[in-house]
Amino acid sequence: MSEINKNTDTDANANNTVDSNLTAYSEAAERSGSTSDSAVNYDSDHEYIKSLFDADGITAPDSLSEENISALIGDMPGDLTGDMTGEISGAVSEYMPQEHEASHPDHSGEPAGNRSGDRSGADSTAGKPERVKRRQRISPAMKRRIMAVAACFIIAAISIPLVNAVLTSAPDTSLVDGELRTFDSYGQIKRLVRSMEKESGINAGGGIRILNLGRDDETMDIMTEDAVGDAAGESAAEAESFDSAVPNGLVSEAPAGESHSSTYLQVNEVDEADIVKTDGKYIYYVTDREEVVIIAANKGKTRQIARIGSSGIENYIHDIYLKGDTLVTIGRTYSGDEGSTAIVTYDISDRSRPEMIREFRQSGEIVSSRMVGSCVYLVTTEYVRSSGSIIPKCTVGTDYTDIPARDIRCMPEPQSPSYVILSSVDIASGETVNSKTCAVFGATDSIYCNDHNLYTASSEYNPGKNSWYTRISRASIDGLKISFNATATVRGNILNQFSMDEYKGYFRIATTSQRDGMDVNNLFVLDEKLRVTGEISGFARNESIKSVRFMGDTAYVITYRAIDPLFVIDLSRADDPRILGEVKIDGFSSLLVPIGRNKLLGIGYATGDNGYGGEYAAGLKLALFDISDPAEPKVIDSKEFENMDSPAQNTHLALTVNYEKGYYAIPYGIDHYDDFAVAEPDDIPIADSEDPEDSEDAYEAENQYEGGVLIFSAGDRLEINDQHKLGTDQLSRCVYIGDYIYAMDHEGNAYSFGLKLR
Amino acid sequence: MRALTWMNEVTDVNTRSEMNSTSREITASLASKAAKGDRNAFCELYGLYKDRLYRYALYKLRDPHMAEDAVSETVLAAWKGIEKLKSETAFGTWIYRILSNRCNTMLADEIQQRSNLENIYRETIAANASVTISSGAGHSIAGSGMSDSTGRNEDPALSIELRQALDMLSDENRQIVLLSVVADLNSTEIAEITGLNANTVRSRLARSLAQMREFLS
Repeated sequence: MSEINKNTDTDANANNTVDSNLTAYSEAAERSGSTSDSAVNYDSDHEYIKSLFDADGITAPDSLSEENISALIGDMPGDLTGDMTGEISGAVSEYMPQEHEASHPDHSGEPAGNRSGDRSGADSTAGKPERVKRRQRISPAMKRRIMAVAACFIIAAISIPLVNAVLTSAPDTSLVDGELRTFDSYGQIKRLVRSMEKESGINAGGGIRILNLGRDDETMDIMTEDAVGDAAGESAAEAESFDSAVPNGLVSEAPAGESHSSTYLQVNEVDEADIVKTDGKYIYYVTDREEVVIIAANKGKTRQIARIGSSGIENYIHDIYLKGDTLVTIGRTYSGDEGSTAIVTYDISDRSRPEMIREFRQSGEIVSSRMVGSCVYLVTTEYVRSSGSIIPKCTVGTDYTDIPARDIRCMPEPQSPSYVILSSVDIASGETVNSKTCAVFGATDSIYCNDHNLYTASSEYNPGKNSWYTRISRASIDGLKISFNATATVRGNILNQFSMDEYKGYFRIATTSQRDGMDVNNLFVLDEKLRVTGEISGFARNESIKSVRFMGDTAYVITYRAIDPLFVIDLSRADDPRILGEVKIDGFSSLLVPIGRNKLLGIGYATGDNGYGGEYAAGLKLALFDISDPAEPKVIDSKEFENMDSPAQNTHLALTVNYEKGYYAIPYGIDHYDDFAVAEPDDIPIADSEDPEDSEDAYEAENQYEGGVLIFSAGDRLEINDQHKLGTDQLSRCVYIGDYIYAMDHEGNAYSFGLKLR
Repeated sequence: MRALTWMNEVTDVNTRSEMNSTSREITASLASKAAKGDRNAFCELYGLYKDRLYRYALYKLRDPHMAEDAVSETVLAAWKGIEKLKSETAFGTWIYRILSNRCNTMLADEIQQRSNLENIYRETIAANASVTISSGAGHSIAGSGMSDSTGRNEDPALSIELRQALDMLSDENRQIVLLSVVADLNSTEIAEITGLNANTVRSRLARSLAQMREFLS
C-alpha cells in the first residue's frame, strides 16, 4: 500500500482565477429550465432578486463617463515602477534602515519631519486629483482576509527609539527594531494610543492608521515617563498563583470506538480547532448557524442527538476541540454591547446532554487557537480607541477584567493601536478557570505554534518602500506559563500558517514581496533571538507563493503566475539557505502533503488559458512529486478534474488521511454554473428517450448539485479509488469511522457510505 | 470604431444570458492591453463595467456622491496598479475587490465620524447643561444634516423595499448578494474577494436570496 507519512498538512488560501461575467449559483430546487430568457421565468430566487435589481434602471452618472475617467487618469503612468530606486537587493529587513539612518544618525530622537518627503514621493504622481488623496483604512476583518490591491495607503511609523534598539550598519542583516518593551502603567498605554491618534488626525479605531513620522522626543517621553496614577489599574486577582493540582477527572478516556480520522495538523501533538471532530462513535460538527451538533454514527447510520446553540447570551461558535468527555468551543460572545471571544468547556459524559462547565473570555476578534496537552492557547486581536476601553480584558477567576499593565508588551514602532492577546486556558481545571493572559501592542494575522513557542505574524505596509512587511512576535508557551519575548520584521507577506516553521531553534518564514512593481519571493532564517541569519530573497520574480511546506532541513515552495514551479530549498545551513532544484507544472498546488521522505502530494487548482493572456481556475488538480533527489524534483503523476472544487483547496483541515488503509479523502463539489459547463440548448438530452444512457445524462443535466467525497491514494502513481456522489455540493468536511465515510454539509446534515477499496 | 459601438451595446445589457462568451473574450483582450499600459483599452474596459460598479457602490453606500467617489477612486487605484493585472487575477474579481474595500473603508470612516460627532455633541451638551446624555444610538444630531439611523443621504432612486431587504442581511451576506446579483460574479470569484469558501458562498447566497424573496413577495 502507499506510504503516507504522519506529517502535517498544509493550509491553502483560495486564489482562483475565473473569467468574469459569470453569474453565481442560484437556489437549487427552483431552478428554471431556461437559460436564455430570465426576464419572464422567476422560478429561481436568484433570477427573481436579480430582476428586481435590474429593474432599478440605475446607470452610472455622467461624472463617471469614460471621458471623465480618462481625464482623471491623465498622464499618470499605469504602473508602479520607478518607486523602488534606492533599494538594496539582498537586504533583509528594509523596513526602516536607510530612512532611519538618514534621519537619525545618532538615535538621539531628533524630529523626523523631513521624512514626509519620502512618503509623498513614493505615492504622488503627476496630475493626481486632490480628492483622491483620501486616507484609507481597512477594518480588522478585511485586513486579515484580503491583501489590498493597489490601494492608496499612506503609513509611516512612529519612531520610538527604544532603550535597547540597535541598528547594525550592515544592510544585509540589519533589523530595524529591538526588543519588546514592557509598559509600566495603564497611563503609558493611554498616552501612546492618544499620540498615535493625534498624529493620524482622527480617532483611531481600527485597521492601519496613518501616522505621521514621529516627533521622537515626545514619544520617547511617553515611553520612559515614570508611572503616575493608573498604576492602580492592575488587577487584584492574580492569575499567577494557580493551583496546578490534579485535574478533576473531566478528561477521561475516549469512548471505545473503531479507528477514526483526526484533524490534519501542521505540527504533531499540537491540536488545531476545526469545525468537525470525531472520536469513533460520535461526530461533533459546527454548522453554518454557528452551533454544534452531536451526531451518533454507527455503521453508516447517523442520528443527531444533541445541539449546543446560543444559551441565552449571544454565542456564535467558530470551531471546537474534543478531549475525551470534554468538548471545548471557541466563539464570539456578546453581553450587552460588549463582544469578546470565549472558550466554553462542556462536559459531554452524557452525549445527549452537554453541560456547560465554565467560560473563559478575552477581548478582541479571534485569530486562531491551538491545544497542547490540556491547555488551549487562544489568540485574538483587539483594536482600541482612546475614547473607549484601551486595555485588553480577560477572565480572571470569576471576573472579567483588565489585564495588568506588566503583562502587556510593546512592539518597537507599533503601527496601529491594537493588541495581540494570548491566553492559555487549562480545560482540565475545576470549576474556576485556570488561565494566564498576556498581550503585545500590535496586530496579528496568522499564527504558527509548536509545543513550546507560539509565533504571531502581522502584515503591515510601508509606503516609502512600497512594499509589505511581516511583523513577527514570539511567545514561549509551557502549560499556563506564557510570555512574549521577541519580535522581528521581515519583508513581504506570508501566505498562511504554513509559511512559518521552527526547527532546531531556527525560525523560518517564506514571504512574497514587491520589487519594481513585481512580486518576488523570499525565505528568511532567524535565530533564537529572532535575528536574520540567512535568507534567499527575490526568487521567482513575478510569481507569488501559493504553498509552502517545511520538512526539517528542507523547504518546498510553490510559486505561481502561469505555471507552478516547485522549489526545493536547502536549509541545513542557517546562514546559507539555497535553492537546490525546481520543477514546473501547470496550475498550482495550494496544499503540500509530504509522503514519506521521497514524495510530495500537491492538492490545488487546474488552470486554463483563456487565450487572451489571462488565466482562469478550471478545477481541482492533484499532483505527485518525486523529491528524492532535491536537485531534480520530478512530477510523477497528475490528475485534473474539470469544474471541481474542494474546501481542501483552501484549508488543510478539510483533508482526511487514513494512514492504515493508505488513502486520502476530500469533499468535493462540481460547479455547474460555470459557463463552460452549461450545456448548449441543443445538447440537453431528451428526458423520455429510449436509451437508458440518455435519461441518465438528462438526470445529470437537471441535477446541478453534484458533489461528494473524492477518495484517492498516492503510491507510484495517483489512483482515484472512488469519486463518490452524494447529491450535494455543499459538503465542508468528511471523516472516517471504521470502513465508513461520513460527510457533513454546512447545515449539519450527515451523509455516509461504506468504503470500497480495491 | 465599430468595435467600440458594439461594446457600448454590450454595456447596457445586464442579464446573464446576453453576457456570452464573445463579450468575455473582448474583456480579456482589453484587460491584456490595459495591463500593458494602454490607457484607451483601460477606459473602454472601464466603460463595460461602469454601470455595475456604480450600482454596486450605490447599494452598498446608499449615497450617490459617496458612490461616485468610491468608483472614481477605485478606477484610479486600479489604473495605478494595472501591472498587477498581469498575474492570474481576472479583471472583474480584481476591480470588485478594490471597490468593495473602498466601500468598506468609507463606511467605517463614516461610522467613526458619526461617533466622533456624537461624542462632541454629548460633551458639548454636558458642558453646557447638567444633563446626562445616555449613550447609545438613536438620538439624532441637530443641524448636522445626518439622518439618524444611517447617517447618509439615501438615494431616492433605490427602491425602499430592496433597501429594507438588504438591511435584513448581515454585512457579509449583503456583500455576497451584491457581488452576485449586481456585480455578476460567480461563487468562486466572490470567494476570492471575501476570503470565504466557494461552497460557503453558495449556501449563504442561496439562503440570503431566499430570505430576501420571502420578504419581498
